[in-house]
Amino acid sequence: MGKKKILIVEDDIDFADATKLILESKSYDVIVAHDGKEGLKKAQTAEPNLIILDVMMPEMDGYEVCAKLKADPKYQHIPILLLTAVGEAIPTTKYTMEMGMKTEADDYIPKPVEPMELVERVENLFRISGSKT
Amino acid sequence: MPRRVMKEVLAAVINSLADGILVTDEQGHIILYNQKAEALLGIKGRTGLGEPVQDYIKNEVLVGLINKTLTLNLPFHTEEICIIDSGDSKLRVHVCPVRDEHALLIGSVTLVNDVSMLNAIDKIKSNFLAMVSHQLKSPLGSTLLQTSILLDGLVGELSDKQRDLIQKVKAKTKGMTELVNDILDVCFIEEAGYISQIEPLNLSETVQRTIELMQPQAQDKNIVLKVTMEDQLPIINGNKSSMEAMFINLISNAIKYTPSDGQVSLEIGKNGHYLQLKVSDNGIGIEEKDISRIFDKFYRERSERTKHISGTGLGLSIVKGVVDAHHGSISVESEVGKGSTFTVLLPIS
Repeated sequence: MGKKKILIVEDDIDFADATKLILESKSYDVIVAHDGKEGLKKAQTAEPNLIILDVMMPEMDGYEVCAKLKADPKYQHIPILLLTAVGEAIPTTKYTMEMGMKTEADDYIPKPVEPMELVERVENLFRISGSKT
Repeated sequence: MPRRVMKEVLAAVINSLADGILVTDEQGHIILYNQKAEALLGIKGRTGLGEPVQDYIKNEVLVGLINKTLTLNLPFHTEEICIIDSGDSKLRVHVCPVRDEHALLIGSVTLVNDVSMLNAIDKIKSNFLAMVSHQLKSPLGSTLLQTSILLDGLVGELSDKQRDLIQKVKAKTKGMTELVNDILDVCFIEEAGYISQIEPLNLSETVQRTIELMQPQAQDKNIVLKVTMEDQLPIINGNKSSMEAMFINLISNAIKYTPSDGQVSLEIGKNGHYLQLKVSDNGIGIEEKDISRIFDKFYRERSERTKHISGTGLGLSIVKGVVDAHHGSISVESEVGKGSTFTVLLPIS
């Protein structure tokens, strides 16, 4: 089986690069999009096995991208990990964890992110989606 | 002053008020309103007197609030506050029941205040906050992730000296992230104190969620989190996310100021007309001279005993802000070296 491909949709270039670095160190194939619109397009054309999606982005936010993909039978099987802009223990901003859960994302991880936790969440999602098929 | 003159003076005063006023009898018939209410609510002419309020006020939300106040007639039901749209304006309406000396309901009184300007300022503030949030939080988030990558050895092993330095960078960045988050929380709560989404809440769910969130922080220090909660918690009217912020800050503070292997307990239950929450710890306690200042923004006890504990000094001011916005009260009892107990009382709806 070839390398699994992960799409990172994140408008902060440094954050996207750092996430890419973490996942590449675990031998994943990584592609990056820097806003919601580009992310949606790449999700439809590059056939990723998993998508890591930031919530707060210009053009189209993460919730919208997630809703669009999950509404489309062609892409709804792709697991989505939502990166919420919520602090460790601060659920009072507009983008609450609850909102993350209300969307149809498969899992969510609050920022700031620890590299090993990110890897665990990704591996876990692959395990779940693998057992479904 | 003769009674007739007094009546004229009163009428003149009511008409000169900066806010609109609208009074109904217990049947919901309009019995009095001033010129300002006429202008703000678009009541045409003086013909409305004696007529049902729904026939003369177009705004359904306001009519609903007045009728609710009159029909519910709860002994402890005091007031309804709401922001309504009226054309291009935003109006803050405040409806109270009117009671005679035997506490019998005889009508309702509504104050109407044009808050369009405040609302516009509020929007500017929200936009500014969003900007700050994005401009400061994002780079801090990236820096934190980059330092974690270095520390986890994903891009090569570090020497002890390099590790030590990067660890310091990470700790400072984390502190700054917490500060930005706390500032956003303070702003949010100040804003929410004015226009909040108030709904009936059963806090048992909120408590469970908070405990789950706080468990890792407690486990790190081997602290036992003990929760005692009555089975049927009374419902309170409140804002859900700010209630969560209140619990998180109270419990996270208790954990922070309690040495390893200690205990933090949360008790929640009914106390008269209030819901009472008690967060107690057997931590380092608060010195008497500091107690009056702990709810001030950015205030932290600075001494030998607290210098190892990091914090922004905003946690308890967030808690106080939330409690005030819910018309509740907070008190603290503490003994240095023995622990502290914070007691919050929130009115039951």
